[in-house]
Amino acid sequence: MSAFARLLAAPRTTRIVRIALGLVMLAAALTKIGNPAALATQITHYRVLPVGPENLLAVMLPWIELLAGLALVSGFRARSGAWLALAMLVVFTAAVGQAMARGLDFECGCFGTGDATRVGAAKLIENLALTAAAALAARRL
Amino acid sequence: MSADGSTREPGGGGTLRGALLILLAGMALGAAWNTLGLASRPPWGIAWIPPAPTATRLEAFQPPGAVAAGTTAAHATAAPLPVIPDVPGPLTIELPAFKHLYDAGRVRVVDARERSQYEDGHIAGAVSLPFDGVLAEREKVRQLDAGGRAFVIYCSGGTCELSMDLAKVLVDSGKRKVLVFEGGYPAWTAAGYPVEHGPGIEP
Repeated sequence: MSAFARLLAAPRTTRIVRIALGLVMLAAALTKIGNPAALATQITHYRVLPVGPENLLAVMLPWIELLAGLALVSGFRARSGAWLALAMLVVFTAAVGQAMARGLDFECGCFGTGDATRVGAAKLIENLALTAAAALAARRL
Repeated sequence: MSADGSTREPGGGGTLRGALLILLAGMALGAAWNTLGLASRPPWGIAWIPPAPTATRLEAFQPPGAVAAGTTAAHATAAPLPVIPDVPGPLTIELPAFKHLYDAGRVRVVDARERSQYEDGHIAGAVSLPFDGVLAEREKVRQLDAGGRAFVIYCSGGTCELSMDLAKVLVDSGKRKVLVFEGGYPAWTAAGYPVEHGPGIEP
């Protein structure tokens, strides 16, 4: 086994990735939690959902991110948090991908309204990297 | 991967149960938080189900034949100006009616796109008010003054929803006579109407 593969397989790597991913999830949650109205608008920009459920999603999603982030950072139920983060990131990445494929151009809303990152290749790569991290973090310790 | 017999994490079943627990707890917390927000005075929660879209067409409010007359500049000066009703929601406006009002100086044109797109080229006389900035800074909307004119908001046309989103924010902030030009900047330039480049006017 190469040194890199050994490093990836090390339990310590899983723990570190979990905490790092957890911090990202917490940041994503806390920037969105106070402004569900803005998040609901941004969800409609993806044009995936029919009109109706976007407000419910905007109300609940940041709290799920918050709890998953807390689980990852604290280590309590960390693997569950990692699986949830993985599931969410797969959906987010697909949402960004379909928006790019359809030529939609808007702010992604990933970290609230403050960061002003737009949906595009950079966001897609960022999401793929986070998805890979979540897959690493979801391994059993 | 510890083979030393130290305590291992729960397997798939336990992990799945934990994930469902987090999911349900997150949904419950979010719902509780928003319920609290809806019950507060003034409420800061959002409606569980968004209200049906209220946008309608300005053209629907015109007397028969009034809008078609405004298709060329020569006709526009002769035809009566479109009537802008004072309705609560934003209305959409088509290019002929918009140009007619624009030429008569009856509209305050607002560019909802990114600042950089505005600087690359915008409808002559338009002010820049990027929607993405407005969400973070509502004060800019309050400062926006139509000076008795109607607002016409536009963005990049096509799939661009920034103009309608901004229009809703303006209406929510108490602005009246808010119109959305859905054709946007591409439709305006395709018609060869006047544009400007550079930093332009701050609202």
